[in-house]
Amino acid sequence: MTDSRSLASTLGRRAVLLGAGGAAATSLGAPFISRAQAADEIKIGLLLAKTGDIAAQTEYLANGSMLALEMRGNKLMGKPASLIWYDEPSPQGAQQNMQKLVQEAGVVAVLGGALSSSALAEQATALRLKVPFVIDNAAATDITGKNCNRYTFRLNTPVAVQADMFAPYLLEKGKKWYFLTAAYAFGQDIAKSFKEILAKEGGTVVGDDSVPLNTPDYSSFILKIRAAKPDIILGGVPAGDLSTFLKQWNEMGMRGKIPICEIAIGDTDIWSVGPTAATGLYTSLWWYDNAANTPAEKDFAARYLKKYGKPAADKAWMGWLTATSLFDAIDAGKSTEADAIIAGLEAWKGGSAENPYYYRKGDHQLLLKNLVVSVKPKITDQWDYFDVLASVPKNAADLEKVFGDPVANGCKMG
Amino acid sequence: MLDILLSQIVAGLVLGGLYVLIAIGLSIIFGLLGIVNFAHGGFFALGAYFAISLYQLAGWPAVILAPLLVGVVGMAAERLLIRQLYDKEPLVSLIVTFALALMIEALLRLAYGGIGQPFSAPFTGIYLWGPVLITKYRLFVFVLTVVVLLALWAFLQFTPFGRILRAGSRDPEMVGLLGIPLPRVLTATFGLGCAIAGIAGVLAAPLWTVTPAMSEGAIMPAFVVVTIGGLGSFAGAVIAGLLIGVVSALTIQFAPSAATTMMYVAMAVILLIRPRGLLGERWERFE
Amino acid sequence: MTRLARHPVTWVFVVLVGLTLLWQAMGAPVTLITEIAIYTLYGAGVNLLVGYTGLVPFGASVFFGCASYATAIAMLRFLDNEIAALVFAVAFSFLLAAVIALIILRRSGLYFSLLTLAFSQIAFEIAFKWTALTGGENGLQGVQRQWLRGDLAFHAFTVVTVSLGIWLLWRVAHAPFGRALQALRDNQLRMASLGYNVFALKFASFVLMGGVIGYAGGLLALLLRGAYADNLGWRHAGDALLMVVLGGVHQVLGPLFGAVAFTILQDRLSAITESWWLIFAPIIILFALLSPEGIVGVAQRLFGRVGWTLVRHSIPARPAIIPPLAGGAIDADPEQPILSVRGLSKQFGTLVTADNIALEVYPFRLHSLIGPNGAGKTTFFNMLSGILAPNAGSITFEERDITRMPMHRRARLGIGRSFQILSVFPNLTVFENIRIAVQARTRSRDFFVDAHGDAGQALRVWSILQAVGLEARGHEQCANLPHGAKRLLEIAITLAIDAKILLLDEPLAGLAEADRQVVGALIRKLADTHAVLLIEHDIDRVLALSDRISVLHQGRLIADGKPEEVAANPEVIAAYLGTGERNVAGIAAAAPVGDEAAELLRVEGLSVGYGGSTVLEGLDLLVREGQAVALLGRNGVGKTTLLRALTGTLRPREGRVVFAGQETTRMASYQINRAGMSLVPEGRRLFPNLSVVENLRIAARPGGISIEQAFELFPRLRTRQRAKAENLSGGERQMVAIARALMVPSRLILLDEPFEGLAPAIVQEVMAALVRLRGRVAMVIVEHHAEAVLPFADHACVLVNGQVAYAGSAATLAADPALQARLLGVGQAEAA
Repeated sequence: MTDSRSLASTLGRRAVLLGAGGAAATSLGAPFISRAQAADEIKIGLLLAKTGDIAAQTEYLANGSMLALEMRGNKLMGKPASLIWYDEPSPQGAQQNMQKLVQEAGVVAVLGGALSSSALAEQATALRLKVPFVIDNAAATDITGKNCNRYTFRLNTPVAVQADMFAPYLLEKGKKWYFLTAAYAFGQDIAKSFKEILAKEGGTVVGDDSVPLNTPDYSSFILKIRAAKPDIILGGVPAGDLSTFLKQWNEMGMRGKIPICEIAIGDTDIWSVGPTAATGLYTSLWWYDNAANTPAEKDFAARYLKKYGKPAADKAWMGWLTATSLFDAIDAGKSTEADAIIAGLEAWKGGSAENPYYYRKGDHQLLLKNLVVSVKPKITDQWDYFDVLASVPKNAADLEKVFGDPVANGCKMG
Repeated sequence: MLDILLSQIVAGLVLGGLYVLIAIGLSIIFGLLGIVNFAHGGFFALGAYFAISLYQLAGWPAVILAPLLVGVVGMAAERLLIRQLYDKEPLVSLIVTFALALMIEALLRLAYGGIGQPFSAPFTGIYLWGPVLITKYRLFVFVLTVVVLLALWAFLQFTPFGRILRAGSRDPEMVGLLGIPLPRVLTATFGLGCAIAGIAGVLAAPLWTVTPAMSEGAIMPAFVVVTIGGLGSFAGAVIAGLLIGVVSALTIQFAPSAATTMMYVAMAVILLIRPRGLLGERWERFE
Repeated sequence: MTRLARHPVTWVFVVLVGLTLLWQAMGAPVTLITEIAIYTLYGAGVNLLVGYTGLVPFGASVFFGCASYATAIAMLRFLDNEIAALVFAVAFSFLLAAVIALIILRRSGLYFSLLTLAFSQIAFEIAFKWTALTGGENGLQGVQRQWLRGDLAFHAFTVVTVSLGIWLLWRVAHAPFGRALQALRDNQLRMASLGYNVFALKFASFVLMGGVIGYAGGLLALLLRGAYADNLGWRHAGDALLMVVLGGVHQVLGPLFGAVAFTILQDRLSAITESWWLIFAPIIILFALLSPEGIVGVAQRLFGRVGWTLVRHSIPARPAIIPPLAGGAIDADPEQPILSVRGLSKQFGTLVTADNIALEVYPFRLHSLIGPNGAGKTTFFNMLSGILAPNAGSITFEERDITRMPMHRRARLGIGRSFQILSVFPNLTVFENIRIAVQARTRSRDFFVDAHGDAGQALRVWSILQAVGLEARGHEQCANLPHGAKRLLEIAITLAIDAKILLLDEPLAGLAEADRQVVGALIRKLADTHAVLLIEHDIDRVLALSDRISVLHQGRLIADGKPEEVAANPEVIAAYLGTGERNVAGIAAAAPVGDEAAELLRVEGLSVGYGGSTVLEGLDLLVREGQAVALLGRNGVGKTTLLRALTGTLRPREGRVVFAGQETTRMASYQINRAGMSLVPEGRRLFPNLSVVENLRIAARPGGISIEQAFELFPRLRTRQRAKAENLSGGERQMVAIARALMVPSRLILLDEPFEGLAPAIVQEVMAALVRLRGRVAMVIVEHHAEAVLPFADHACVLVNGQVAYAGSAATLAADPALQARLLGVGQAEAA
């Protein structure tokens, strides 16, 4: 049970968070105090789900962001700084909490947005409240598409872009694809993007199943797949469901027979499948054991391992990177004014010459190369599941093209 | 086409068997205690988590203890909490067990974290009989389900405790008037129902994703099964569970995205035709 | 001024405005208070069903969520202002509620709760998958409010309209419609018997709930400027219900305080812990268990006021002079039967309770229906009034065939009935109990006028109350009335609907003599102007009052004619009065157990009651080892209640019970049984799903008789041993019940009406068994026919008015008909 949290470590983590300055702001009727007391402290909001299935991932996102602040000695512009973490229990609660972060706790910017539904709601609130908002996890295309706004930045690569990056690798495996996608926005998005590509390349859809969320039993789907004999399975089911699917896939003796390919799967999703059942070909934004990681990233990974006793998952990196970009922007502009922060973020650059990343001006989407990873055929380590196959697109210069034109994507930033 | 339909029906039966196991405990508890236990899914999840912990501590044989542990937790819950509900109106028991369900989930999250726990079946491999495909583990699950149900049936039918259970489901007060210590019977029954849910949890752990929220995937189908079968009916729960399993599997074949919705539609339709479910009898206590 | 201050809408408005000011002062976002306001209305909508109508919708979220989508979709696609969108949302919700109501309203109780949850789930699945319409997982964003752009403007609009919504619901609660809902919550069957269409009432309240919640859902979409699926999921399905329970179910302000507490707690707890359910769930559980009326209940306790606040407590003022109840004669031909029954039959399994009954009831006559217990009288009434459908035969009322007509329509035609088992509205005032019946006549569908504002109606209610002598208790809550007063109320309710024919089922049972005279006279008077069919056990009174008597025995009509003819009919005497036949050879031979035997059961100063009423007060009783005690008393004096108190199924308020040397007053019933006291309960209470042998075995303990001995005692059971108890005849059931009580090692057996509804031959068989047991085990036999048990008993005990009026030798009582008559009340004064 080494990977499970003990009560003590949970409380410990809370204590760290509260110690960082959040405690006063959170008790009943506290807004007065927090505003009065913290005039010279810079506060950053963290808006990430604390409950629900997504909480397994937000834990990493939050850890990453907190570590980013710690790595700067908990200071911004030379002043003490703290992160205040509020829940996003639902789009409704998330909107409320964003408002509370800004109006009650007085944060200068907000990090977060774990689920697309919440992030889309929060994004609109950010615009109304005129507060910079950097979304670390949500991948809905609309965030930097038709819903884009001046105050919102987003790290994760949209589905359609990941599809474009991933497709060449999949076409090498064959042109008979079986689609197994979740019956809601995320899955529908994936199915649409990949079908367009497949049609263009002259491939065939040999199966197309839309799967209800939280399907407990995939054996019926697996039977259909088995009968259809596709070259690959194009998956589009969310984390928990993928884990169920892979377990049953393995259990039905199918592991290794037909490759399962899916975008936007997190490390934690695969870790929870377990070494015997894990399999597949995925896109990823980052892998802790990637030789191409920058020194800063390696430093982060090492500190993370030391502090939390397990490797930094991609989500941890995402939390770290969004926080780092925001903090850099604040420090660079020496201001906590929204306009200055936005300017700072727009100017911010990270990564290396080989693998640069930056928020482009047109839609505030972070451009970065994605990784194509595959699960090792035989897993020996508790964490080391992936082989990094490639970094796409090959040339950094192609990034703008792959991510598409902001205006064509529907973004009209006022 | 016929091949795959046959295979789908077999797959549906296995799934249905699990639903029956979850639902039967709910049904027994409802029958005797008159409580609709929203927390039943929580005990199912506990079964899965205990199985993983015990496996990590002491290997496969220890997993057998998991349902027993769930039963013990269930009995403790009955003594501390559920017992307070017997003389209250149904609304209170709905609210209290609902809160208990969310509390169990929060406790699991606190103890194990929200991330899915890796756990795989002790053996893999498949059997092919003509067109029908079934994995070894699923076959094991199905056989065990049947064994558990038969044992439970025999237990209810032929043992003194089973007699008390059946009698008590119609008139608990009269059972007490015959000198049978009703409070202890109720505690044991709640524990039994929870333990059966625990068995289902153990069996499902290698198949489903083990997260604190897995209770949700259990409680709603269990409600549907119990309602379709008829509240408190053993045979009804068995028939309804298998029916829902097969209906789900066939819907997946033809209209996959409707698979979960079909369950609720089936429930509404059956209740329209048979107001008390397939085998529900008129029980004065619950009208 | 005080009226305004007490008005719940004032409270809602003041609390919401107060919170707004507080939040503004703290610099916290006011949208949280907007949310509270919205949930207050959502909760109030749910409470319309839970608190007022008595239905528990676990998934009312289906309306909240769907209306949210309807508003957002309307705003995004075809409507450009929020007011129109809200109107659309409400209309949409009405429609949705109507459709769902048609499907699920015929189910009640748990099925209803679970079905609403299922609909919420279906809506969730659809919303989550239909991305093109609902945005699926991502939800809908970008709803632009045209007029109420700012947070404050929208907040003000919300607070005002929510207050208006609460005001509307408050008006509805006091209108005839809302009052009818509350009566429905208390007693559906009674409402149907008064002529209310139960389904229509439930339907209307369900649809109204849908509309109110729909408006709240629309507001939510405008607040969020979008719509999301998570409000439909099972986790949030119960939100409003949780709030209502937290606030107080039977409190008009419950939803307000529930929403305030729920929302603020959630808001603040979720900021300090990710496991906020770990804190919140215990809070909910504690409230649900310890304070059934939630936060309001706690506040009430602090201020020393308890009770429901669903409606104002006032009733229309009692007029200085109450006009006597005027009743014009109905318009009917005295020579034509108003009600005729042909070939009516009813079976329950093998049990025949009505066998080809033919009967005609004429107007302006008092027609009585008598027969021994279990003869099928109440079943016959149930068929006449529409509770039960007959297996064969027809019922004609005023030349219309009503055999298959639903109950409420029969009531509207003019068939009124009273119930043998008290059927009133316990949570309404006495005045309202009657008024609801009077209202049934007018069939008012008003949703807004105050039902208590109708002066003519109120006057009639007062007249009826006066006619039964309850005019001084009009303001009291029905549940708090003593038993006798409730019986009077029961009759008054039946009178109030002004039926053409009154079916009165034992209206005199449990009444004191003075009341019997009042009610008897009233019935006589009614019979002169209406038609009355009366079931009554008080034979003397029946003989004195009736114009005609029909006698039912084992489901058959055995006599029909003038009182004096019937009284002389030998078959009637044999079947009904049945004296002389129960003497069993050997009774006299058995040596009576006298006072020298050791004490077995001692009851001292026992007081027991239900709810607000007291049934037994300061009762003393002594039973000795091996003694056979006849416990006698009229129907309703508390004989069964005494047995319940002795066996531990009813907690005594005062006094103590000592059995076999140990105090059993507070013991659980199983402990009492293990001490050696067994019960053969009224109605036998066998386990219908178990076989005869299983029914016996379940009780078996070492020291009791064996199965074989049970079969020796009742040879008939041997042949039926594999049969399920539900398929046994009445006599066989009684035999199993007695044998079952003997399977445990008993020192005392309590038999509650062991001969009830048994054919004479079976009575003999049961009696013979009891005779064989005599002396071996002590027995307390409850009976209301003294002559049935006195020859057999050693000792007799007669209950009158919850106390022992006679305790002494059975032989003495048997030999003193005057004493029997005085105590067991066939007419003579208990004033003595």
